[in-house]
Amino acid sequence: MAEPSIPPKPKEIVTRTAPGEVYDAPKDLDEFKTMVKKAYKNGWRLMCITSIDKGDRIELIYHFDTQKFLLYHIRYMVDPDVEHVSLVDMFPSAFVFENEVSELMGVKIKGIAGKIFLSKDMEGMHPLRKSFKIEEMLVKLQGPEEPHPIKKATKEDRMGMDGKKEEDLKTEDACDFDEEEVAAKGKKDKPEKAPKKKEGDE
Amino acid sequence: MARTIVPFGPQHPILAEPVRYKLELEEETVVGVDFELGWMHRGIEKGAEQDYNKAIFMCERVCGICSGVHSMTFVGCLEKAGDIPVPDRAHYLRTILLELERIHSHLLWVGIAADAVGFQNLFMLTWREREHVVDLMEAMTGNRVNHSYVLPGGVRGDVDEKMAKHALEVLGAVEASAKYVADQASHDRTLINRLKGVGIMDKALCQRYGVIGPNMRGCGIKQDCRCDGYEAYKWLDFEPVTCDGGDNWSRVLIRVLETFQSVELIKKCFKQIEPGPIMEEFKGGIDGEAAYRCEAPRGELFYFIRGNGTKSLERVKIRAPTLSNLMVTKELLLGEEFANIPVTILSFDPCFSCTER
Repeated sequence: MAEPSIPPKPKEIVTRTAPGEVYDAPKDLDEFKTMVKKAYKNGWRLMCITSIDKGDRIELIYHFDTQKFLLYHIRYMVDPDVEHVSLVDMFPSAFVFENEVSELMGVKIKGIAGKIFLSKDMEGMHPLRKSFKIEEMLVKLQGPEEPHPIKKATKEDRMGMDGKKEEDLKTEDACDFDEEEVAAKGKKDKPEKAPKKKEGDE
Repeated sequence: MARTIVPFGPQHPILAEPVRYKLELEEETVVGVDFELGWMHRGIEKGAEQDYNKAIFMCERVCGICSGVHSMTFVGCLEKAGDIPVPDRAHYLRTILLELERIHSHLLWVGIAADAVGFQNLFMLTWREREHVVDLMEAMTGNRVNHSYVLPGGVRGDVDEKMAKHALEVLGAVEASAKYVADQASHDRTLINRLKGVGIMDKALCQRYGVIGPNMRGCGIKQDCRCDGYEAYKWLDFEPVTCDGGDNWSRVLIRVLETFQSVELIKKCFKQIEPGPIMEEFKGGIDGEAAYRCEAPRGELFYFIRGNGTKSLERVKIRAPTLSNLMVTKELLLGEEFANIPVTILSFDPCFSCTER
């Protein structure tokens, strides 16, 4: 009997901090609330809310500035379908951050509409989720029949050569050119342009 | 009294970028403010979840004016998360670039503000000085705007003695003429009448809404991320400059003062810098997570990244200073006269490509 294959252990992520920087992880919502209240009472500034997709759960990190040039982070896991508390009452600037989390990551937050960056057509889509696929978005925005083709850029596209070979480009736009060569080329070009002018005059 | 709703934007002559403010007026006084965003959202956070070497250039393109500090903060984050050593000389060179960028950004903003109040002459004078600073950055990095200078482990190019001498000469000239311009402007009756006592933000309001950067220091709060001591700032002895008042006039003044401070810091950098390597080779994946912040010209810029041991990153979070400074306008504009709204919005140095990323 073959041994059941063991999935490879995910690599442990190291949290690297500067001296004095603290990461806190509350166990439940009550502990989270007391931690936030402590931050509010101390007069710390809410810097940002980071959201990270962890499959069925979303990790939220609340970053605070302790006004002594130190950082304080609260890490809290939420279920995206369960309404999470809003911090707008304590920190008015949380309004934009929570809207962002709600719209781009799809976390439900109490009293937050989650309409800040994306257009109305993209309602229900959360681009920062790992499950988000750009093809699905295009089908929804443009209809199922003729979705805009996604073409992967080739090297030639990136260089803007319009089908020209790389060798041609080298000869045409070479930086270290001969002055005589350029002068000769200029002379060649002139008679081509001249008849065009005549046509225009007539 | 009957109320009128006046839209401000999405296209407005005073702002280069689109945003829409919905202003509710009673006669000439604003009684309600709401804003709408979404014209500049490009999904850069999602796009940066890739090979970190490529993501540097993506993050650099978040903003056109403070592109250097965006790449700097992202690289700083990588270095913290991946434990990458950086030589001392690279720290100094980065600091010089960041300070040059601050001068260029502040001069550009003072010019735009002068243009907004109808002082065309000041606009031309400041932009002339700014041009010399941009030329310096080009000589140092090879590019005027998106410098692509900072890399994990160091910087891309060195500054030789000849260039350093030239830079100090140019900066001396810039400082002298900026002083002249500041002197002329600070005694100008039109500017003072137009800006003094308008859009007053007191300390409590500023702290409640988490306003940062020069706007905060314009209220008299002595806080600066550079005091964290990242890069070479730990070796440069300096104190953040502040202005009391909190009105539009102090927000102009604080930026002028910071320009002079930046010149001083660059001079100190050139004095202290010692020859040595500018780059430590680094190859491999990022196996950690870290938060890092820098003082961008508009305030504190914050990045958070998480790697998974490979070259591609799992999450990149960008919080630009302008996003933090946005919410306060909702309360600050209440009770203002309608004619003062454009200048007050502009006094916060808004940048919507930073705000929405």
